[in-house]
Amino acid sequence: MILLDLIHGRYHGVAGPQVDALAEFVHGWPAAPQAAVPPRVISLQPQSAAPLIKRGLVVPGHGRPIAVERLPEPAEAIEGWGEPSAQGFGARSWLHLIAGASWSAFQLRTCTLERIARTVAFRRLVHAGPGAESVNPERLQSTVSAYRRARPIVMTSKDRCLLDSLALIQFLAAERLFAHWVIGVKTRPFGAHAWVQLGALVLNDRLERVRRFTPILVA
Amino acid sequence: MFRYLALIWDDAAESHRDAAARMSRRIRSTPRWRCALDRIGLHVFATDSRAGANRVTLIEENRGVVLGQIFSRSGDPVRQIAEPGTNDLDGRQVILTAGDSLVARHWGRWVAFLPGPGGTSSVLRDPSGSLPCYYLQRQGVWIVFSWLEDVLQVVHDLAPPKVDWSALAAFLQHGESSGSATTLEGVSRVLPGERVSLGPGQMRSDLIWDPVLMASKAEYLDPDTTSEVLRDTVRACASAWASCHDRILLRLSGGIDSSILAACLAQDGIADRVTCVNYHSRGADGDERSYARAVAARCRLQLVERERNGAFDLARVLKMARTPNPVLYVGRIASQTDAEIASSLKASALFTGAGGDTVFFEYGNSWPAADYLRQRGFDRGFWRVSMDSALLGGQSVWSTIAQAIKDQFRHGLPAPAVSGHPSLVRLPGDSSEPPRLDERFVHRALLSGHSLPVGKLTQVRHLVHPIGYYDPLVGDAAPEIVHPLLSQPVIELCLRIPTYELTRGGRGRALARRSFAHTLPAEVTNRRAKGGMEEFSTTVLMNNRALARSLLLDGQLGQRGLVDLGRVERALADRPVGFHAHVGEIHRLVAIEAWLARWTTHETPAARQAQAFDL
Repeated sequence: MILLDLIHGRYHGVAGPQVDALAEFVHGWPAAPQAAVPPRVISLQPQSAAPLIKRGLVVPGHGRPIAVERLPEPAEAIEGWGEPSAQGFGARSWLHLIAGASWSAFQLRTCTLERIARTVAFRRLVHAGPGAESVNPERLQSTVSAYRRARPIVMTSKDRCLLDSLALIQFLAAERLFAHWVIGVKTRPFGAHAWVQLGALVLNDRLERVRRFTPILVA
Repeated sequence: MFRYLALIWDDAAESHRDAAARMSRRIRSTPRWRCALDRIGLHVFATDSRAGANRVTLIEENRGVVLGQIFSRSGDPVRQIAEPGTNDLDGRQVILTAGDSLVARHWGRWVAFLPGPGGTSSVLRDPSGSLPCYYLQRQGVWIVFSWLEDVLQVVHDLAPPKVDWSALAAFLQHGESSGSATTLEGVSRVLPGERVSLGPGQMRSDLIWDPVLMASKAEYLDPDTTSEVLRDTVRACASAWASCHDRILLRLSGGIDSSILAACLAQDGIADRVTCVNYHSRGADGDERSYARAVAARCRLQLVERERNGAFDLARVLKMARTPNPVLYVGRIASQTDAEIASSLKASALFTGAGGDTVFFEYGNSWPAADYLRQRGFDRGFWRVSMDSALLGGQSVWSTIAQAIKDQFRHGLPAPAVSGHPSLVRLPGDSSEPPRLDERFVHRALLSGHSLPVGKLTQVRHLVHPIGYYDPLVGDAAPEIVHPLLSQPVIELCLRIPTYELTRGGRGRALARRSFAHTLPAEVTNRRAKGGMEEFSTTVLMNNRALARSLLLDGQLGQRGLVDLGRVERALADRPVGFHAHVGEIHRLVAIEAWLARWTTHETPAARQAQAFDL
């Protein structure tokens, strides 16, 4: 099992007897692992739950978990829709792009993942509602495509999926479109990845890549 | 399986003449070999040739011979479309131009033997390099061949070639070379587009087709015209190859390249002779059946589906045929199934979309901006191309521009990419410096490649890289493999089209996608991802971990200090972290160790298990 420390932005692995041990006294811990529950975990901790308690990942009493959202499994990627016919990018969109990218970079430097995730989730719930609101597919496609084409002006590194995804979330929100910010993990070897998803539609990545990861945070 | 053998010698030297005569008698005594050309100083033999596919074409009153398949070009110079079935060969012109006209007026998959200068004989290999061509010398006789096992039977009474350890070290670092040297001492390769003249104690060579020169003649047409020309050229080449076979098996992965090929074969008179096969396995990228089905349905082609064999026994690679270079087996694990399906369908050929990545330009890199800057300078189009290239490379436009400017001051070939995690191979010297490559491991055309911009040079570099023709695992049972996307007209056209036009809009293979967009499902032409076999490769290795450990930890690479045994041991330990990070490299090392076992008498587990592969 992999834990994501939302305060310190670190991953921890728990495996074997430790998993069972934690099920005994941690509220909400998954039941005793069934055979072949994916993903199997690379153990990164000593054979004791004490370090998790010491790091504050497990606390006595009741904690404040982020509301658990379950997304449908990714079934489609918007890149498969091709390029939209009309591709305008006005001044306002530029403003949204630059502001969103700058704000996202600032947030990642100064805020915890917990705070960022709560903000994203709260904004989406307030504006879009908890249910799946129907989105005009053409507007979604043109907005995402416009972001993709313009992002090389503001993005500085191809490997910073966290920043890129958060920037897209901000951009979409400014355009009154609200999607989920997802962080996923995989093992063998361990890896973490972030992407943006609306329902079962992946907005900023390839379906084959996203499917390798299991969501650990959905905001 | 079409193969050839040729003997070239100096008839004035008695010992050479006698040796050639002995070898020639030995070959003639084997029923499968037919003498294609019998001249003083040159004997050429071929096996398994048949009308319509690989043939023997004598020219100019038996002064020379062309082996393989050759088509004529026709149409206007810009289009250079090949017409199938027009196989007229002006033998006189071929002799007069010493083979230059073979490249200028024809294309295909061929090797030619012609009279050379000063009593020599020349061997020419077509620019696609699809038909293998090697040579070595024994007792004064030059032996030119396509399949090394044939030579070993002819000269079985002489010492077999020895491993060239410096070449093998280069192979470990850089993969199979594009140059003339192989990993066996004294065994050399005729390069694609090369003419090698072999004579008494001499060997000279020159290029009859220069990909660097071809690529430097950039062709600027409007996008629509370029798209149309590309489509017509690819389709014509696919049709030409299809005309050589009664029934065809097409490996349809669901990716854009094989799908383009399917679209080309979905024509009247061809489609009902084609059956597609799709291989799938577990894993996020191992199952593309939905795409393959969509393509087959759209093109109205039959499709069969097979699961990849995760239970593949690695011990089989210890019995692979002996080859001039190690052969990586992972991509050939399905070859037995290919052979069985082809046999059941009576399909004589297996068509693949191999080479599409290179000709159509699929590189996740921002090179097209550098290419544009070198060819067009800082003009109005540079910004658009930089944005496209930034999208292609997944980086900012500012980094892209900076790299494009930096490339203008590059000298020599770009350094090979360095992998992100520590390799299992032990690098000689200072491993912090980019590895250097001996010239004999580099296609001679690339030695003048610094004149090309980086993107186009990379394309050339990959296009001159050898591609396999024979299957060392399955041998004669394998159908003939055909790669229509690597046909000379397609290669030449795509070399002339600038990389920034091949990727216009910031997508790899953008032009090819556009060319075939109306014939393929949108979900296929819009796909950015490629299928892969990462999980399958891991499964195969896990199922054969004990054998892999034995081969590598007790093998020659470790004993010679060419691999880091400590890292290898950790990678193959029970902890899965290192294992998964090195799966591909472990497979590669196993293939090399298995190859070494066939060539050395060193007592290793691999050598004890290896047996001669009998065709």
